[in-house]
Amino acid sequence: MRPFFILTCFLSVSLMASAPTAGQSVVQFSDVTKAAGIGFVHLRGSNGISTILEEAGPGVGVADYDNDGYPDIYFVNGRDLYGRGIAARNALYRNNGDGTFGDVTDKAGVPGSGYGIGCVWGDYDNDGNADLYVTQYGKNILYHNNGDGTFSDVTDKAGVGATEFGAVFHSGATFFDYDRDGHPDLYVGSYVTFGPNSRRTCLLGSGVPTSCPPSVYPGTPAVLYHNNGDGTFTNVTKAARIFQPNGKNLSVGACDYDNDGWPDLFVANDGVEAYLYHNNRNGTFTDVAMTAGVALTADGGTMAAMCISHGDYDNDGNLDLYISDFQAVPDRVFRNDGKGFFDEVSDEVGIAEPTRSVLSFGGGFFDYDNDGWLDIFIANGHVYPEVEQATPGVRYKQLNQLFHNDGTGRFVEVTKTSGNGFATPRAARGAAFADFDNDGNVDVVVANNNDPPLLLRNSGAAGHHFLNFKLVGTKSNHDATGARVRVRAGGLTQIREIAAGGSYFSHSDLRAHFGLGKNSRVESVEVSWPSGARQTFRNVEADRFYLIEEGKDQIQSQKTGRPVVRR
Amino acid sequence: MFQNTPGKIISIIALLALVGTVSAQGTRRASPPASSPAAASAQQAFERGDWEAAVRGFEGLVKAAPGNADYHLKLGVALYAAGRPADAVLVLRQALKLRPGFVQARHYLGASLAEAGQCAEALPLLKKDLPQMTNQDLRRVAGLAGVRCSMGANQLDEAVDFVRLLARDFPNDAEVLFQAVHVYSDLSLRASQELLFKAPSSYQVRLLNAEALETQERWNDAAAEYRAILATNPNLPGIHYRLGRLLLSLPENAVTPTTRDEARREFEDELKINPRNAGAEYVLGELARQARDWAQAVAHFSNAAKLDPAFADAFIGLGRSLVADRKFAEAVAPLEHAAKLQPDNPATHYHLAVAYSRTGRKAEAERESATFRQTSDKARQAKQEIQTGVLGPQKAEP
Repeated sequence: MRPFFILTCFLSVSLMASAPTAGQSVVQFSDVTKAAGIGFVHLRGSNGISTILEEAGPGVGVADYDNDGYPDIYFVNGRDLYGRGIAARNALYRNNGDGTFGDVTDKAGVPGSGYGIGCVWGDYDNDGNADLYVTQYGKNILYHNNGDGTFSDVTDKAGVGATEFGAVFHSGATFFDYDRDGHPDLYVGSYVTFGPNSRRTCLLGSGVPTSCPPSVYPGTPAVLYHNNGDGTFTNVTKAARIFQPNGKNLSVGACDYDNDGWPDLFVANDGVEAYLYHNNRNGTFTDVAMTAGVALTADGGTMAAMCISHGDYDNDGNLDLYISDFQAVPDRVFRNDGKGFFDEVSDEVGIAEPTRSVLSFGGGFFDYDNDGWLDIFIANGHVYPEVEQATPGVRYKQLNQLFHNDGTGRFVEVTKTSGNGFATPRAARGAAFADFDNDGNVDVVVANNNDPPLLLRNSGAAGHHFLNFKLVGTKSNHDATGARVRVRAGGLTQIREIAAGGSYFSHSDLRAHFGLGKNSRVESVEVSWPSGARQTFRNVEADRFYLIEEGKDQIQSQKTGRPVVRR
Repeated sequence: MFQNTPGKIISIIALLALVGTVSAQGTRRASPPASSPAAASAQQAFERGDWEAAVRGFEGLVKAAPGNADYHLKLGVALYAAGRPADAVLVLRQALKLRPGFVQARHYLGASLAEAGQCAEALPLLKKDLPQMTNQDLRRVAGLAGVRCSMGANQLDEAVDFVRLLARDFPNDAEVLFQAVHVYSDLSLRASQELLFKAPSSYQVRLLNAEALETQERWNDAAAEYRAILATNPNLPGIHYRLGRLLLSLPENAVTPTTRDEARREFEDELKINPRNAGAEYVLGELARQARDWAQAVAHFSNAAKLDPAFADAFIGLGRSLVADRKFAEAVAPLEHAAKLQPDNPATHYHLAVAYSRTGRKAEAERESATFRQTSDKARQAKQEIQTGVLGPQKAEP
C-alpha cells in the first residue's frame, strides 16, 4: 500500500467510529493535488483589470485516454493575449495508477492552440479511444486519439472549428448521439460577442472598475454538428432548428429527460432564458424550456446558469436538474415530474439559502458516500476580483460546498465537516467527478481560475457498497453516451445516464457509479442502449468495477489494475 | 437648422414663418423695397441663421426706414437669436409702438424680456401670449423662460402653470421634464417649510421627517418617528404600513426572520385599522409567498385583488402562488387578468405560459411563451438604451 493511502485509510478508520449527525459528514475529502504530482497552474492572462474572457475559464475533462483502467485529467489553460511572452499551454496528466499523475502533454501533443476555455472527451470515431475536443477563444480543436499515447489535430478535416457563424468565444460542449445512428454528434456552445473593440471594463457598486457582465454584450449562435461517421461532421444547426443567434451558452448537457429513448439537450444561458431542446426524433429539435418550466426560475427571472448536472436525486426514475447561479441568488434544483415538466424545488430541497452567499460554477450530482442517494458538490468563486472593494463581505475566492442528500428529498450542507479539501477558498470554475484511484469512492477535480487545480480524494463511507460500470457500445456509439443503467437493490431503484460534458465546461468519467448503502448485492442491473437494445443482469455482486459490452450476455470486469476493494 | 443659445432654441422654420407675414403688413412710410439688395441680403442672412449679419442688415434697414414695423420685428428676432435679448427688447418695443397689435412682436418681446431678466414685465406677457403661440418652438422657448422667471420671482403658482402647459405640449422633452422636476421639488420644499412653521407639533411634521430620514437611509431614526406618531395617533391609517415597509427596506443583511415577523405584524395591524388597504394585503401575500406558505399567500393576494381590481401585481402574485402550489388551472384566470392590466410585463406571460402548459393548453402556452420573449426583448432593449444613455456607448478602453 502506498503511504498516502495508508494515511487516508487511517483517517477513514478513525472516522468510522463516529456516527453522522445532521450536517456532519464522516466522509472526508483531502486535497491531494501536490501529493499527486499535479503542478499545473491556470493562467488567466489578464493585463490589469481582467475581462469577461479572462474570468470565464477554465474547464477540466476526465477520461481514460490510454485505456489502462485509470481516469486521466486534461486541464485547460488561458494564454497571454498581450504579447508579453508568457508561455502557457493546456495539460494532460496521465494517471499512474498509484495516486500520482504525470504531465504527458508534450508527448501526447495536446497543448491547445489558443485561449482555452473548456473541454469534452468523446470517442467520435468509435475506435475505442477517447478523443478530445477543446473549446477556445477562436477556433476550437478536435484531437484524435491515435491509440498510442499521442493525438492528432483533426479539426479542419472534421470541420468542427465552430467559427462558421462568426462566434469565437466558445463555452461548453457535449458529444451526444442525437439521431441514434451510432456516431456521437457534437454540440458546441457559444457565449457572447467579445472582441478587440468591445467594452472591456464596467463599474461595480459605487464605481469600482471591473470586467463587464454578459448583459453588455450581444449573444452568439451555437453549433450542432452531425457526425457523418467518416471522420467528418456537418453543421446542421439550422436544419435541426436550434439556431439561436442571441444565445449566451455556458454549460450544455444532453439527457433523455422525458424517457422516450431519445437524447434531449439542455443549454444553460447566462442572463437569458435557458433552452431545453426536445428531440423530435427526426433530426430536429423543439425548444420546450418555457412550457417545461426550466427556461426561467420559479420567480420568472433568468439564471446566470453556469453549471448543468442531470441526476435522479429522488430516485423516482426521472432525471432532475441542478443549475448553479450567481452571488446573492440561490442555486437551482428542478425536479422532473415525469410528465414532461420541471418544478423548481430549490427551497424545498434546502439548497437555496446556503448558496445565496456564494457564486457557483461547476459541480453537480454524485453519490459521495455511496448511500444510494445523489449528493451535490458545488465549485464556487466570484467573477470580479474587485468585488471585495465594492461589496464588503463578498469574497472573490470562495469555498466550495458539499451537500448530502438525506434520502427524504432534502440536501443538507456538510461542507465544514468534510475535510481539508474544503478549507481553501479559490476562484473555482470547472469540476469533474471520477474514481481516480478505483477504490469505489468518487473523487472530484476542480479547475480554478489563475490558480492550481484541486484534486480531492474521497475517503468514502465505511460500510457502504458500490458498483461501477463501464459501458461499451457496439451497435450504439462506443462511449455509450445516451445509455441508461438502472440498478435495483434493497428496495431502491437508481438510474444513471451516460453523458458527456456538463458541469461547467467540463467532462466527468463516463463510468456509471452507484452507491448501494448496506446492500452487498443488487437484484438487477438493466441497461437501455441508444440502439434500442436492452440487457438485464441479475444478482450482481457489489464492490466491483464491471464492463458491460452491448450485446454480450456476460458482465465482465473492468481493467482497473487494483485489487477489488472489499468492505 | 437650429440656433443654440443658452436655454433657448429657435428653429429656422419658426423664423421663416415670419417671412410670410412681413410682406402682408403695411408700413407707415416708404421703405427700401424687399427686392432691394440691402433687404435681400439681410433676409438671406436671416434665413440662413447668420444672426450677426442679419442684425447688421436689418439695423441698416431700420435706420433707412424707421417707421417699418416689420424691419423692427426682424431686427428684434435676429437680436434675440444672437443672444442679445436686452437689445431685442428695445427694438421690439419700438415695433409694437409702430404697430400696437403686432402679435409676433409681442410674443418675442415677452421671450426677450424673460431672457434679459426683466421678469416682472415678461411674466404677464408670457402668461397671456403662451397659450396663443402657434409656433411650437417659440412656445417651448418662451414657456421655459416663463418657468425660470416665475421661479426667480418666487411665483410658484405661475411656474406650475407654465410647467403644466409645457408638459402637455412637449411630454417627451428632456429640458421640460428637468424643469418640471425642479419646480415640483421647490414646491415640495416650500410646502414642507410652511408645514413646519405653521403646524410644528402636528403628526404630519413627524411624518415628513420620517420620509426624509428614510431617503437618507437612517432607518432607525425614521422608525422612531413612525412609532412616535403611533404613540399619539394609534389609529392613524398608513403608519403601520410605512413602518412595515421600512423594515422590509433595510439592507439585505439586516432583514432577518425577526425583522420579517415584525414587518408582518405591522401590516396586520394596518389592516385592523384600515381593512381596505390593498397594499398591506399585497405585502402580506408577498411575505407568505417568500415563506412558501401558499395558502396564506393566495388568501392575501386574493384580498388585495378584490380591494383593487386594477392592482396588477396582486393578480400576478396570486397567479404565481397558485402556480407554485401546483394549482395551475386556478392560476390561469388571475394571470390572464394581470396580462390585460400589464401587457408589457414579461413575468406575467411566463407564469401564464407555465399555467397553460400544465393544464394542457399547448397552443396558448406557446403563444404566451412568444409574448414573453417579445416583452423581455423590449424590456432588455429599453434597459440597454438607458444604460447607454447614462454610461455612454460601448467602446474600447485602454
